[in-house]
Amino acid sequence: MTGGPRRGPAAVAIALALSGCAPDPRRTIGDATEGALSWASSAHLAVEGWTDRRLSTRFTRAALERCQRGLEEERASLASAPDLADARVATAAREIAEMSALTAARGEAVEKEDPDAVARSAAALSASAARLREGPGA
Amino acid sequence: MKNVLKLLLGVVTSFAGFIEVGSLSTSAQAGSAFGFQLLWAIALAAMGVAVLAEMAGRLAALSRHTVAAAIREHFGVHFYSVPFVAEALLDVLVLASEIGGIAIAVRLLTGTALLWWVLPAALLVWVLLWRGTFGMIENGVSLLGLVSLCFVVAVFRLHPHWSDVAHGLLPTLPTHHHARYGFIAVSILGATISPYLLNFYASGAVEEKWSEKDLVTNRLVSGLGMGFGSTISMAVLVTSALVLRPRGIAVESYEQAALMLTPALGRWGLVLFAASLGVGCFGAALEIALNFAYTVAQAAGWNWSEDLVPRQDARFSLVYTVVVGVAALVILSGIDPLRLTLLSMALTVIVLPIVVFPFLVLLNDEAYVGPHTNTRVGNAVIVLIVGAGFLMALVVVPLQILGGQ
Repeated sequence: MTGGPRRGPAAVAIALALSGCAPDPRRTIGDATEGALSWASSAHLAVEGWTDRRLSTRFTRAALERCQRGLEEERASLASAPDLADARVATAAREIAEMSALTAARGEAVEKEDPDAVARSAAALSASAARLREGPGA
Repeated sequence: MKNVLKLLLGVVTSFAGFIEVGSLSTSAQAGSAFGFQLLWAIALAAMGVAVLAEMAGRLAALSRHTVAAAIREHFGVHFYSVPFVAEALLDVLVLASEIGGIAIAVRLLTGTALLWWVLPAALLVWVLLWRGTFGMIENGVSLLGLVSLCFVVAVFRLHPHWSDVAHGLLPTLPTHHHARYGFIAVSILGATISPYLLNFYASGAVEEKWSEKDLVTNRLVSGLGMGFGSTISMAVLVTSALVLRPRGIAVESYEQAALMLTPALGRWGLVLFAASLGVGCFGAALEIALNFAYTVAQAAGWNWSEDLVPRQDARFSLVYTVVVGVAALVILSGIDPLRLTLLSMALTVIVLPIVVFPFLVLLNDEAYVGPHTNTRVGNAVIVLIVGAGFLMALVVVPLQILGGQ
């Protein structure tokens, strides 16, 4: 956590009242980036469990499918944003689309029980996640 | 000796039956999004539900009335129709979430589609209601819920900094996502203080023919059972905070939540997570369906008891049959079970005053509880928790639906 916690009901009320609803490109990207990185990280944790033989192939495949669907939802939320014309939004959408494709590839590699292919897609997904983290929403 | 065993069984069943789809998902989300920072919400909710359960048991033991029957008798049928409709609608939504939770637990283990398991789950709930007795439902299924102690084991194996955990018991504001923080806090309150629990607890006391001599048992069962039960919810939150939050995982699906036990419990992690979810949801689904039938039968003045065979209380049995079917249809409509759960829990808090405040009036009426009326402290605790939760829900539920941060 950063910064000291604030206390008191007045602070709660003010913070809640000020928690605005009007979207701006930075926030649109920030939300989608946060969501996409969470899905990518979940995919990593699932594959880590599969590699260590703590998770079954069946569950890992299902978890990766869910992660891919989550990434697609984040990409769709950017695609439907009114500020898509903003170059930063379009860049983030492309990066998330790539992460989604890599997660799908990872799922197929898990299904084929091919650890080398899983490791290759893991490296590519990490690189894509790093670009998104340091990219338009940063 | 018999009384001690009865007491222990009561505490263990309250404790083991604490985890269900609402408490598991809200605690997992809270830990992954805000670390230990929402532990206070679980502690506050546990205190509220313990106090309310004690009141419900006291009302039943002294007046031989369930909550629904007493409100109807005291305030009249017209007034009672408002809390009745509110609770009935909530019961359907929460029951749908619980049936969805059973189906998800099976999906986690088998990898098959959720929708395949909704009807078998609903059928299993109905069969046990049809064939079972109150004791079998209350004790048997709740005892199976002891599997959820795996979260407590996981916490110890993950070695948290206990001072950081204790700090979470103090309410603090987050540095980001204020609306989400408020929404999860409200959902935790709703997951813990469910209106169905009050009437179910009182109906159980009437089924078991509690009297004034059971008041001490009632106090211990409600206080210790709910208090210990909340430690399991806290363990879910702490495990999620230790495993998922450092990796930047914010729980949006059960597949993500199911990963939380694997680092601490290895290959048993997924199985134990699914078992905790499945058993907890199964127990809660039985209680909610039964409570729905209790509420309707008590409002209409029909025969009601889970210990009677269905032909002796046919209308009572018909009601739980119908509500289990309707709840299954809600999940089969394709609605996301996790979103339905969180929304149901938050709506519960909005509905809570409608159910709880008339109940408080009864607990201050000597005609119902004799000299054992509520203390001012007891009244104040409930008014503060329910009132504050209600006001907070009025702000954060619309904000969350509108996408506020």
